[in-house]
Amino acid sequence: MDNQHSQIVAITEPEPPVPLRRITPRGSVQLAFWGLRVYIVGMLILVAIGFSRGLH
Amino acid sequence: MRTTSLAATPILDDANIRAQDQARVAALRQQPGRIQRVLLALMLIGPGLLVMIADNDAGGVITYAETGATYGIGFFVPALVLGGFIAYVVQEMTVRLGAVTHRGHAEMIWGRYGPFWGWFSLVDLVLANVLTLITEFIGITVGMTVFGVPPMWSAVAALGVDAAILLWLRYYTWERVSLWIAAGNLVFVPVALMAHPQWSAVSHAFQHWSIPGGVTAGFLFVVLANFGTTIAPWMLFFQQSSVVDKGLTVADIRHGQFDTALGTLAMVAVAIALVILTGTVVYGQPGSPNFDIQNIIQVIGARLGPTGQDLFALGLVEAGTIAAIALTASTSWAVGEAFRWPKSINLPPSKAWRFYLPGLGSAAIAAAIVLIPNAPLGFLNLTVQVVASIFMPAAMLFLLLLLNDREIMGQHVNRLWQNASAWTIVGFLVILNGMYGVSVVFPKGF
Repeated sequence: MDNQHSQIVAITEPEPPVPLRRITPRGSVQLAFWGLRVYIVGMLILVAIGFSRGLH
Repeated sequence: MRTTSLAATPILDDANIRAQDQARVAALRQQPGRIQRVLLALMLIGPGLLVMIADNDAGGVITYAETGATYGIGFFVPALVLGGFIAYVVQEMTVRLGAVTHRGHAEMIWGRYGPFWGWFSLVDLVLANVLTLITEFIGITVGMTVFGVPPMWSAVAALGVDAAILLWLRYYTWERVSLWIAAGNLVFVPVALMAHPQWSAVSHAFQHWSIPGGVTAGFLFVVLANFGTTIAPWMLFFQQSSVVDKGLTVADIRHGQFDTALGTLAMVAVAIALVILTGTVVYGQPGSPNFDIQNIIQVIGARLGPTGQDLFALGLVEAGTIAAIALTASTSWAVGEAFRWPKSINLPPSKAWRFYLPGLGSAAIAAAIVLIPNAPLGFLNLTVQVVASIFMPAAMLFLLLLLNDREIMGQHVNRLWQNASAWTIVGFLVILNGMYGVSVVFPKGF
């Protein structure tokens, strides 16, 4: 077992991460990002209004 | 798994340690036999159990306890089973994403969608983690007060434990020690049994799922808080980074799914135990809907005696501690991934101090804030909910886009039922979080 284990340790190398390249959102992905922007702006406006009214 | 000679390849310490962890897995996988299969499963569990149990954090314990005290067993026990299903669907995706890409969640967002969304995710995550850590230290100090320990000592001790296991232990040992601490979360199950709950009432809750007193603003608020407790942005980042740091590969996905399912069962069991406990001993007491956690601990002490009270307080301390450990690691991994620093718990602090600094710094800041006299803790708690409500749908959207990206995921992209479930959850989250945001900003108009 120990011998087998040490042999495997000697020959094993972790798999490298997958290649990653930046994409330009198109189609439904682009739409999803715009929906996210609208959601974030809406939430930030709500928060700004709440804090300006002394929310605590 | 690619195999070459390590001697010919200059590799970092963390890759070397991870290779040894993976070699132990490979050795077990090559051996037939039931015992070997069990050992393999035990070796591969970790990220899913940790993330799910850490999700029952101090804030979660307080939320579930107050829910039971206010509404009893009726609606929320079945609702928590649904919450468990939601948590599993979401977290399982991080297992596949991490095992296939060998990259953390922050790294994927940064690399695939650019620095704008990368910064957005990172700032939100770190801010939410610091604020959540504050609630963990509040839970720890409140729990330790039951044993007469001053908040200063308990906060410093908790910070010390968090820092010690992160700095001194390497990934596999860190994970095993964390799992032992996480096991303490199950203490709420025997405490619930000590309350001698009426099992007929639990059975009735499943057979006749109904809302006690109808849908009111207060009820909706508790529903939102419970689902907000079930899934959180840090969980996505934590489990994916943990899967990567552990070195899981596509061959380990099934074990990762088993790990996540096991964690979900533990999480749901503890959450239900808490609701049953306070639904049995606190619900119906005069003023119980307005009880805070100190009131609930007092009632548990009066009804179950000092043993029950001490066990509950210990559970609260444990919940805060394991969540602090997970949140600290989550922050360090995310910052390391975003800035492409060496990012592994396998690295000694002397070689990767930049990796450990953000997580431990955020924990130290949170501990210090809790100890500030008259600190606006209620305001901070509110802010964490607001930040999380903005961020969670965004984090889910990135996760879903990545899981449907065939260039990255290949044959491991989401299946139809996974997409249908996940998009339903996103829609549900957007509506719930939107309503939650409106309710905290306009409490009178809700």
